[in-house]
Amino acid sequence: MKPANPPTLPTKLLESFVPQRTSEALLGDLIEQYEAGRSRTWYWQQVILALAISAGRELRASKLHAARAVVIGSLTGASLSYFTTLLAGRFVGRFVGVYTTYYLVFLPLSFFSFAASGWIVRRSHPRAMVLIWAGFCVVASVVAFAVCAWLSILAQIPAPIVVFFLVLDFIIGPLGVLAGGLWGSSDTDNASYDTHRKRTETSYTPLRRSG
Amino acid sequence: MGDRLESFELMILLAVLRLDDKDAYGVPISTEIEQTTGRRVALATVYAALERLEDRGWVTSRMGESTAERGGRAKRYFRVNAEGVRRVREAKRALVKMWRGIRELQGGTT
Repeated sequence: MKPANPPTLPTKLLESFVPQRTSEALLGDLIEQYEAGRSRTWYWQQVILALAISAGRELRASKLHAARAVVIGSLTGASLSYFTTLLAGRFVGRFVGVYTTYYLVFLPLSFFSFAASGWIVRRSHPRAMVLIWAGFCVVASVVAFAVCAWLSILAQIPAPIVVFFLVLDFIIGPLGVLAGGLWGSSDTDNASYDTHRKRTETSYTPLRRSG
Repeated sequence: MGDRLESFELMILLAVLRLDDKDAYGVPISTEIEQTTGRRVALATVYAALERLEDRGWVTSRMGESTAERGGRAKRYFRVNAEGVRRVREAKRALVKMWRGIRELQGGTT
């Protein structure tokens, strides 16, 4: 039996990463359709499509912002991840095995590093730029793995380390960025990018929400 | 941004024109297209097209009241303005001109 309330996570993703001009009315329509009997799968599909459209539109409209978001995200995420894992490796590596260090120490640290990058991108750029940064992480990982496979580098690395990098690049990195983006969206009354943009945009009338 | 009216955008404009002002929001627009053409459309694509049309000045929108059954979210009603109607007429004229004189398309309905 279908739960009464629409799924929380896709609702939150749509609210956080799609411009308010679209997200308010679209979410209302999705909830109306969900209440009328549509499935959770349908709801998720609609939200994923809306996120993809929003990211594509923002990318076409503002390539400079997108490039800046990727640069800032890369610098923050990569440098934080590098220095924290380097430090942790020195201290923790003495006490536990190398693979335990990788999986139990490096993965959580990398998650928080990517989350920090997502938070910074969300606070300094339009909403959809977090999606572009997360998407860039995936594309860059695909390219990096393809190059490593082509140069036969992967064959020389122990399998648990390859799996570690796969998990890091394709799961932990993008999820961390999105989690950081959601975190950065949670306090919308503060001086985030959207608040600044709302002050400068007069064409869109803010919505009045009941309850 | 292109000034050309794409076929999906034409469908959206026609769907909005077919609906009353008080009914022309996302759900009825997508339902109208699905029922008329048999083509399934996602709500996100409907909004993306409507916003492109609004940016070009062919469609206007206004927010309605928030309602509890929509999780407290308001409906966004769309209306085709005079320029939008002119563009639809132009598209129709162009299509009818293209249609004329094609032997394979004479007589039947399919």
